[in-house]
Amino acid sequence: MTTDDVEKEGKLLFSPYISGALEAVGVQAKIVLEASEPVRNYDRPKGVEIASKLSMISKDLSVDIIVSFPQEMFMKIYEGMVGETPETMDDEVKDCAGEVLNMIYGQAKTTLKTRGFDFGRAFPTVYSGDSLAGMYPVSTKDQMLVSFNSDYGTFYLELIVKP
Amino acid sequence: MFDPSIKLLVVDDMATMRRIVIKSCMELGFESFVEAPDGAIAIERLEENPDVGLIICDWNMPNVTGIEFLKKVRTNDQLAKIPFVLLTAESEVSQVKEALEAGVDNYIVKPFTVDILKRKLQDTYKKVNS
Repeated sequence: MTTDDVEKEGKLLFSPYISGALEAVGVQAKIVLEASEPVRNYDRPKGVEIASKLSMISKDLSVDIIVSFPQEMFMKIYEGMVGETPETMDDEVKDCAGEVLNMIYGQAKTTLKTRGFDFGRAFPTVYSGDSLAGMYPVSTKDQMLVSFNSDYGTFYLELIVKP
Repeated sequence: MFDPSIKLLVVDDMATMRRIVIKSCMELGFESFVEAPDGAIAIERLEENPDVGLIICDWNMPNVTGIEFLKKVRTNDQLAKIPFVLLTAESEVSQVKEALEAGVDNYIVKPFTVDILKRKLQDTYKKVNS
């Protein structure tokens, strides 16, 4: 596979997740988002306090998709989705990071199937505090990042293709 | 039209989605809810609450999935007639077909608005009562 092929495959994989994030947060949290262009060479997002990861496996590919939030942005999304303003980020509130990723994955999965990527069932894991450090795979074959900007701040979506 | 005085069972492994469903249903006038985090506990909740009149259940759950729970409900004489709405993050045709074959009354694709939920519940009751 050439570098161009890898890049093309990455974009084919990633674009349904970008649409999925715009739809999931836009409809369920009623927050208007603007997505940046995907970048492949980047440093890990800064200021992240909560994240969720879903590991997807198909016949040929092993991919992690990660959505990560600074606390203020996350709390706004929670408020928009659930209609309550949380005082602290307890386990029930943190669960929301997993549900956001569930919806993004669900939205993306149907489109991915039409593009030849058939991933099975997967469940998100939520990371916060010390556990954030262990979220990323040790080695990567390819990676992409998109930032989603809103009036309330920014959150991030990363796609990591594993060797 | 649906009857918001009935008791609603909300089944989802994610607490956030249970809260979203309950909040949305409260906006439609529903007041009485029971919750379960998976299909196995949902069966227990039904046994404890024989007055449940509507089930809204997630598809993708660990342990007993939404479709497995639906099949258990539909093969139990005492529960078989309870309207059952499946909540799914996917709109894949094969999944919807499988749910319809298993006896689901309707399905809602996440994310959803209160208006979508209202329309789906109206359609469900129209179908159940016809």
